[in-house]
Amino acid sequence: MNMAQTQALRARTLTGLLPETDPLSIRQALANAHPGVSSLCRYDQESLWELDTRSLPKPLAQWRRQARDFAEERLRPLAREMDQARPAGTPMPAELRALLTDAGRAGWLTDLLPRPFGTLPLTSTPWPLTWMQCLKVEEFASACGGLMLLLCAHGLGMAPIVLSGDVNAIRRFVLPAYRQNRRGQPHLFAYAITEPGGGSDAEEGHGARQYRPGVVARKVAGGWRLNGRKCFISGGDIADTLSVFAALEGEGMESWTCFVVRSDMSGFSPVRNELKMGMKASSATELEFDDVFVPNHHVVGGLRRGWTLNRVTLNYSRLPVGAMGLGFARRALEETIRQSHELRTGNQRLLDQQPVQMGIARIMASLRSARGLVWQGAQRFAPRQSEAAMAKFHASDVAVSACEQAMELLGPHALSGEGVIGKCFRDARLTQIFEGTNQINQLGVVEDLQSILTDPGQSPLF
Amino acid sequence: MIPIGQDEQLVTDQIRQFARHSLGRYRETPEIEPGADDAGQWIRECLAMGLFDPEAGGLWQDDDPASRRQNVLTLMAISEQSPALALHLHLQALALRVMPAPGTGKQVERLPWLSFGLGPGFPAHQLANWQPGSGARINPAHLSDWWLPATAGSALLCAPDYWERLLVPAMTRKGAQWILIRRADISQIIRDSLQAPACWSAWRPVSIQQAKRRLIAPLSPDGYRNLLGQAWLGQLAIALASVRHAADLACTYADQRRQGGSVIGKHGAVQLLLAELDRAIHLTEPTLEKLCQVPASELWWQAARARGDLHPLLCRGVNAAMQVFGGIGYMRDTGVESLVRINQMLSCLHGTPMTMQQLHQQRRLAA
Ligand SMILES: Cc1cc2nc3c(=O)[nH]c(=O)nc-3n(C[C@H](O)[C@H](O)[C@H](O)COP(=O)(O)OP(=O)(O)OC[C@H]3O[C@@H](n4cnc5c(N)ncnc54)[C@H](O)[C@@H]3O)c2cc1C
Repeated sequence: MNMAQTQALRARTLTGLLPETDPLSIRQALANAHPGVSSLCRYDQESLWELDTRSLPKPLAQWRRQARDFAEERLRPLAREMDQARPAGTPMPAELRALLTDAGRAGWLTDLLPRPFGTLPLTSTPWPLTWMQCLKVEEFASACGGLMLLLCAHGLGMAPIVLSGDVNAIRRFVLPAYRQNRRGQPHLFAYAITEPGGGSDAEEGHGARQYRPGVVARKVAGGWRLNGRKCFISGGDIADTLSVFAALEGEGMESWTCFVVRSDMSGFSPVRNELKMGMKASSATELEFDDVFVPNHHVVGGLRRGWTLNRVTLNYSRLPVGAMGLGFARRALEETIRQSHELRTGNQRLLDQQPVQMGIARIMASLRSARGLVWQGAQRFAPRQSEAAMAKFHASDVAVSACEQAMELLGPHALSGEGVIGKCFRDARLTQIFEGTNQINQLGVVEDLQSILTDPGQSPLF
Repeated sequence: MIPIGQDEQLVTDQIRQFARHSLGRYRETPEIEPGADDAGQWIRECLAMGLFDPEAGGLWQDDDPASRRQNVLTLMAISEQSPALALHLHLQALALRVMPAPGTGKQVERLPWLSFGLGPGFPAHQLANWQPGSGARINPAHLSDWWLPATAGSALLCAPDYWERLLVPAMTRKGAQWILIRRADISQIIRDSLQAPACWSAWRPVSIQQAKRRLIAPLSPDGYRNLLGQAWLGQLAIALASVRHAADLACTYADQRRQGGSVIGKHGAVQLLLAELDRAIHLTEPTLEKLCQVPASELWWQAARARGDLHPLLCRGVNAAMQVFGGIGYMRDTGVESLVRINQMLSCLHGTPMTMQQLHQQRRLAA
């Protein structure tokens, strides 16, 4: 072995581990073993991302790669610059508009429906839509949480219309917006359930039963007049169309109805954008409805069907929130590995230190177990509430804990530099709160399995 | 013994008033983050109060148990309103112990700033293990020159936005020394965001080797360890006070916000979050109290152990406080999210919990 080779080998060998040329190293041992033995144990240096991607059905693998390419090319370079709040009413920065235009042209804003209506590949239709969304969201989140939310909150806004199965509504609201997006003229949707007086109460039945709705629809000739306020609505300041849930006048949450509101309707205004901890490229907006007239044909899925539609939508959207967690955990892990190559304490790379090696292994294991949970839930055409909720709260906890561990391993370096891990933490923290706090999601698991839990005689339970 | 968090006697009215009025004001306007100018003004007020004055028993001027306790309580009183400023004052006061230059007590610009720095050859937490002559954990390649590298590399100074003169430990040809660098003499500094609340940044001195440096004092292992111990003790106190503040906010909110048919404080889920906060505070308070009493020679390792155990708990506690708020906790308005961020920073600045635990174990094994 010449000098250069020796040096390269040394760089590849971590302190405490054998060089790959050592006869006792697993690589050498397997290389020298009988083929029957070596075929029983894998020791290739393929990335685990590749391994997972290749385990997917072909159209999904291709989709995952495309999402990754788009995220790397278009989201990652903008991540740092766009990580700042935008007051309501200010024009969208040119870079964001360009991103939305490109995303629209590339088909990322029209992927709730298969071709020829939308841009989901026809070959992917044997697999659930949620799985496709999870794959996309993980890739986007790993590049930038805020930009991911900017693009994906749009899908959430459109989801109740698509999930309602109301063909007329799809034809009236979704397809024209799809055409605009494909032409490179962004037309965004937003999803509005949360009200200042009711966040968790809009996400779980027990609270909803006792909640007095804040946004109310009054019947008038030809339609409805909406009054009240919604808050924390992602993309609410730039959305052209919003799925707004409101109760009928004089009734409770059981009368919740989904209304499609256009941003140019008189009486509608985005009042303010919140100053958030993270995911700043996407705004969280307070919306005011001041006697907004909404015609009858803007009711989606029928009167008093809103609560069901909301719960069904949440079931579909909580899995992608879990996938966001995967994206953040992955990015924190990748950054930890990158930095622990470069950083040294004393005369050692961080990566040479046992606690760092073990920390990295722990983050990897929790990331992969969370991915298993998310993908398992996403493989059902009709996601179960318990599975969606479990995936959401577990993967979001994993994400936050991965960022915390990364900070612990890297020290203040994790919070500085490109600020990647600090940003991941700030972004990931939101996944423990929205789409129902993790506490509400834990209770959602119990709600779903209520009859099983109250009949423990059944066996096996799980 | 009175738990450390409740003893207000030792904090002067003047400091309490300063904390509540000068600092409390900016909490009311969350859209405006205080910047370097505000920090400068605050430090000026602290100077006027004699916080750095040795005669007036300024911060960290003495290290007997009673003074230590007073320092801790003063830092906590300030931290309840602004942990970033408390950290600021804490490290400036420690710098003055190393370099009690005449006149520094008068002008803000003359106050040195202490940074333990983070360099490839001389990371702060490893210094605690440093034995003269052994050089055991210091990269010999860096012994021959200033440890701050010429390249951006991994050198990182954590300091507030407001600093003019920096006091750093350095390994020189004359051995370990405190050196002073003027900001104006560093031709290129990259300012990094630490993603911590206002006034705090990370600085990467690109060309520090060309900067003019003044040797201030030799650095002895014992003196250095003692200083680290005080730094760590103060850091833990600042974290505790910020978490206590978060707990107050969370309890008040849990008592007001209604969801699920009652105030949220009645829900078991929220009670568990509050319990997480409570646990962190109740385990930290007596430890701090104890740390105020330990002999100077033991402070560094006892503080290291305490930081290793307690910062993660405090981080978890403040995170739980944020969760109590639901969506609004994610916004700047409540002030809790900034406490989450600064606790992350306090936890890993000057040695992470993992490093602290290792340090303590190494010391035990060596003993
Ligand atoms: C950045 C951001 C973006 C968002 N985007 C959207 C959006 O696009 N559209 C939208 O409609 N909403 C959106 N939300 C709202 C989000 O879904 C809610 O914030 C979330 O559901 C929590 O509601 P809340 O904020 O009212 O908290 P609360 O419901 O007030 O909860 C406060 C605390 O009480 C607990 N709690 C509440 N009720 C119960 C109960 N019954 N039992 C036990 N514990 C309980 C919670 O777990 C939490 O810890 C967004 C929020 C944020 C922060």
